[in-house]
Amino acid sequence: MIEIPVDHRADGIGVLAPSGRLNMVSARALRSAIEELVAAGHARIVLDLAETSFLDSSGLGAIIAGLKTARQAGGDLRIARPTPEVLAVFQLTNMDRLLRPRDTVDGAFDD
Amino acid sequence: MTSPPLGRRLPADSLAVREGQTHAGLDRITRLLRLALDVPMAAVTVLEDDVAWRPSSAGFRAPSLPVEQTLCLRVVEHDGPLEIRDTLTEASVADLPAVRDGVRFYAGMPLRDATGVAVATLCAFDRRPRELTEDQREAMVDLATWAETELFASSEMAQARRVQASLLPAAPLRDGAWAVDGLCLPAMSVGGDFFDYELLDSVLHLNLGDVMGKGTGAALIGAAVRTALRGTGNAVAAGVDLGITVTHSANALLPDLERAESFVTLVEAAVDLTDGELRYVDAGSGLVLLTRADGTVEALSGEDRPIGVWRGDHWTEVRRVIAPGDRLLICSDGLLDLLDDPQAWSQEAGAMVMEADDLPSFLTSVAALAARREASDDITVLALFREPGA
Repeated sequence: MIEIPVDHRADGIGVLAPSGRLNMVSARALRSAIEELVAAGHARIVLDLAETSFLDSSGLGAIIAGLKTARQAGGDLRIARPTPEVLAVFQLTNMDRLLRPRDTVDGAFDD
Repeated sequence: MTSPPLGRRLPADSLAVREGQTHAGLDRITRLLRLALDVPMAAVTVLEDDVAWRPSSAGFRAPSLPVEQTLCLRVVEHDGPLEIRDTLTEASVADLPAVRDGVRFYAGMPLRDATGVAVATLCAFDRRPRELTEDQREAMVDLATWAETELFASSEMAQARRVQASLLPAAPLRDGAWAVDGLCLPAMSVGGDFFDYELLDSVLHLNLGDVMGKGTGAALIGAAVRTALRGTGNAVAAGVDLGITVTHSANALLPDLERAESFVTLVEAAVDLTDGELRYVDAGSGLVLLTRADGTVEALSGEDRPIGVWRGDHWTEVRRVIAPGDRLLICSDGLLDLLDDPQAWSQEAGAMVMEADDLPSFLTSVAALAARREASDDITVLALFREPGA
């Protein structure tokens, strides 16, 4: 099972760092983790993808659903530090302009 | 005293097809086998009790006949691949009706059910003695693996798979110098990939979609998307901008996709077969390439997102020309998993397209690759070849 460590930062931003494969099996876990964060008042979320080795369409679907949930709650979801394999999925599906990859977790909400 | 039946008594629901029914998936396989082996006749034969019947045959009409009168029974008895290079030199088969009717060459592969017992065959016939090449033998093994998946499955899923296969185009389409065909290999019994094509006047309307996820849920949504796109066929043929038609379909599908929390990557295209003009929309697929007669490969990337992701999205039509000798490939990302380096997919897939003698042999090579690499994702390819000098 995928591990999704959660960090509730002092500035109110929630950081999720899923490690391993984000696929049909683990997508559900990511989706609930995002929903829990938003429900707990952290509508600004950074998804740290440095340890995510693989992303398929179900994983991408969970991220998009998370983005919608966060924005509906008045926040946003940003992705940071994707590996080249994962970045390729965002680029192939042209999702990289909706979810612009950020270089750092700390600076993900700077703009 | 009656002798025991030669074939097996099969549980009624162990096969995806019953006697008297046809099966689009198996038809695709026998058609490919016939072309891959360059034989006039190919079939899938089920040996059930005393009767041999053929859920699929290509190149001949095949009535049911007593099991002991078939060459296929020899494959099941032999329990392995069988190749008879000249039937007239094999005394044991020389009296069979097929041989008396002029069959000189036979090749058969056993198809095994879930318990490992051979109850059917994938077979090929020729009217002249011959020998298969090593490549042809490999193609036959790969196609047999695929035929087993089509033939044996639990009844309900088999039914679903049969329905889904019947939603794909029934046969390749040829028009002058043009040939279009595709294949869809679901990772499970049914899958979220689909492709479609139809010829409307001189306009070829074709598309390939990949629904998020796998299995039954994805398949249901795929069927809805296919139907929505079919509904725009006349507008597409009349030359309406594809950005408009796709946006129209996407808006109609959006509420369903949002409720199902799903999305679809899609390539929707139209080709005017009189002058080769290609118009297409790439909705987040990024997996379209055009190989040119001069050996160059162009990946046709787009900038639009998948359907169902974002309310208010719209899509843009892009144009190219498919010249004589050019070949168009559209695929789902399942194909990427089969390649050595998915990041450089266009070169590798482009080489596969260009190296193929013709469209059937390209599809056979994809099916072979999928069988060898044990694909875990749905794999779908759709290709349009234009003959050189036409």
